[in-house]
Amino acid sequence: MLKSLIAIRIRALFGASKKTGQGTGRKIGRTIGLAFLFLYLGAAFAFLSVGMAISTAPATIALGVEWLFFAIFNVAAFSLIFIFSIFETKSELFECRDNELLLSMPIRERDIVLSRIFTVLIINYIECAVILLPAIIVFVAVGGSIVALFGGLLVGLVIPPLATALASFVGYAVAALARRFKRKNLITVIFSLIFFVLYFVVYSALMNGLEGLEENIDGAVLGMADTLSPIRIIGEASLLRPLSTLIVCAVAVVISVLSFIVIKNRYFAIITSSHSAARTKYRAQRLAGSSAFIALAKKELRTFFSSAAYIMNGGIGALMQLALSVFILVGAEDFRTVVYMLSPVFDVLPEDLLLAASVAILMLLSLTTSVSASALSMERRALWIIKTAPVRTIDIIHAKLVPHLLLAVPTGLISAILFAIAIRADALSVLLLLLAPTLANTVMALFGLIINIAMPRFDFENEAQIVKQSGAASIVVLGGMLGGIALAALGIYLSVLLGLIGICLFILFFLVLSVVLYFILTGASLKKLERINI
Amino acid sequence: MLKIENLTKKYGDKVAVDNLSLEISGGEICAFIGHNGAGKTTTLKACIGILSFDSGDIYIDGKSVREYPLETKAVTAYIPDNPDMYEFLSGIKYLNFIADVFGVSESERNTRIPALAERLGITDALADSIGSYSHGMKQKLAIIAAFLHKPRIILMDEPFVGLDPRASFTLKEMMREHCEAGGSIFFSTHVLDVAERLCDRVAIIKGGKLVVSGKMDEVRGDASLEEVFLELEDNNA
Repeated sequence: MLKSLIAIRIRALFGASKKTGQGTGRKIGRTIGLAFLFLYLGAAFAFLSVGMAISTAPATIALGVEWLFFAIFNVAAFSLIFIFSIFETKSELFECRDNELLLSMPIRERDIVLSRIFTVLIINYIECAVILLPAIIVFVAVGGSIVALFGGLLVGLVIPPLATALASFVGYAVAALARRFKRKNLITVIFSLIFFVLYFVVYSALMNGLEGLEENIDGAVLGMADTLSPIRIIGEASLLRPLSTLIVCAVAVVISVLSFIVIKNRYFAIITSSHSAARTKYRAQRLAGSSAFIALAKKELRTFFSSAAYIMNGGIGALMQLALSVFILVGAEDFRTVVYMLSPVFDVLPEDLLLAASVAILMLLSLTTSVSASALSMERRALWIIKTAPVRTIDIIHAKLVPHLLLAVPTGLISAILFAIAIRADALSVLLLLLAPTLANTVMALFGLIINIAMPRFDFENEAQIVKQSGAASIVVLGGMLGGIALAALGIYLSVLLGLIGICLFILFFLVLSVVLYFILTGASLKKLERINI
Repeated sequence: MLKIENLTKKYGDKVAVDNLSLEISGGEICAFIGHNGAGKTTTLKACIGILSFDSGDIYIDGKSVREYPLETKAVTAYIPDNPDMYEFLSGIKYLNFIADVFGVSESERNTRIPALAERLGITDALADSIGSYSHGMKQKLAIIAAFLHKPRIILMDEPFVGLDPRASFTLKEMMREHCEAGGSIFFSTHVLDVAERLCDRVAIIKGGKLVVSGKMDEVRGDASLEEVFLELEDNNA
């Protein structure tokens, strides 16, 4: 039974999009295309890991603190997996639509829980491999102990179950708590933000440690170097130091087993909890009318705010943009100093480079918002409602852009103003700074919806499968990030080549791209949307 | 009012609806009967314009659903076999949304929604989110939404499934009243007793082909609708 359940979960994980009459050849072509895309994205992230490893490994080996190298990578892998699995496990375990169906069958709760955790574990092993494997290879290649090859792999096998078990436990705690509140999504979003901040705190602490190392081991690193320091134990496990390896493995096993026991025992109670069934008696009130478009747009906004997974995955880019802008404003002098130092390297005026860097950062961060990438799929099986309503398809499309633009454009503009203050921009620069995120957000909103219409998926068990794992969301999120890096580089290059004119051309490029994407959306995508049958 | 002319719909090589022609006039209730997978839902979806078809055409009030999708949708309502709705909305917000997209005036929606909700016994639950509704409550909400904008024709796919006896009775009353006011109803059902007592016309489909269509009395003769249906099934096996 467990095997069958796991097979079903894996099929759901890599579930095909809603069939729209496409032939077998086209389906195979799309599968191959998606496989290549994920390989490319995996390679891109592995490349980042290689870069970080190359800059760290020689120093740690030379200073005899190899454990710090692995501590950094192991903690980074663990934190990333843990933080991003919490809501994945919460959705997989407690919010799947087939929970009650499975519970009604003669299936042990143990098997249901295991099959769901296993699905998350697969993704986590992939994420862990992308981060750790390149680091281990680089470490050995630059002269590190060959023992690290085996130790690194052993820890790589232990980290995903440990992080998944802890994430499942926290996910269970959030689910149990959220059930007691009417605004469950708000509770979940608040928890998400807390964990997100925690992730950055851990990441910053590690980076500070790294900085200390580069300054030839300062007090912070020496503090971590205590034999009983957890960070040191985590790092030493990759070097197969017996006590540390034993501790890491034992902790992983104990936490995994305990977490599983708690979830298995509380699973039925959470799923069948009656908290959500609390009724509110309707009191008649006068209903106000609005135009069909406003009604559609309001419905889209309610869809967005109905799901914590959708808010966090789709809108986190906007939040990050705002946070980084505040960070830049606070550290404005440092930002200016770094750019002024770099300007002779690029042989460009410092003011131009400052503006180009600001424009590129704003644009890059705008390309991480992906609300529109799930806008159509979130209709689920209720798509018939708008398809049977006397509304134009173009109005449906415009309404689906509203949540993305309403969330991202204002935050982009606020960020632009913060950047303008930080770099003491003149009038023209302010205008360019305001245009950059606005156009980039428009591009991303259009691109996301085009991809979602091309690859809709309506048969999902929980929102996380759509906003995080679906083909459309993956392409838009990761494509936006990597495309953004390439475009940011283009922006910097144009400014180096042509100064202020280059920055203007860069902005113009986004304007043209927006127009092109709008024509695609209201042309081919509109026709595709009209053909989609439910 | 509803005219289906030589409708053919294929899924790949499989012919789901084969050259089907049917006409329903104003004031008529027509039952659409057939075994599972016969092509009833496909036909209904094609009529409402959410399923493209390969050949033929469908006219509502003389207008092609292909050429005038907005005009035909404005005078039509649809209740699917499984009432999937926006689970995050409350019942009242969903109905207000439907009123907005169908252009129901404020005064009319403020009169009709309470009246229809009261009639189907769902008033108290209108503030709850649709996600907390039972199948029957969702079905009631879909019925209210369908009748809300006073459509000329209502297309229903198994509308009685999940309804309690009281709501079933009320729906039959509402269907009859709708037709007495000049509207039409085309609905699929497996409940032959209901079809026999409620409908003016009946259409029986098998393997995508219309095997019989006409006035209920003419089709049935002296036999019961159940006997006629089973005999047609056997004859065409």
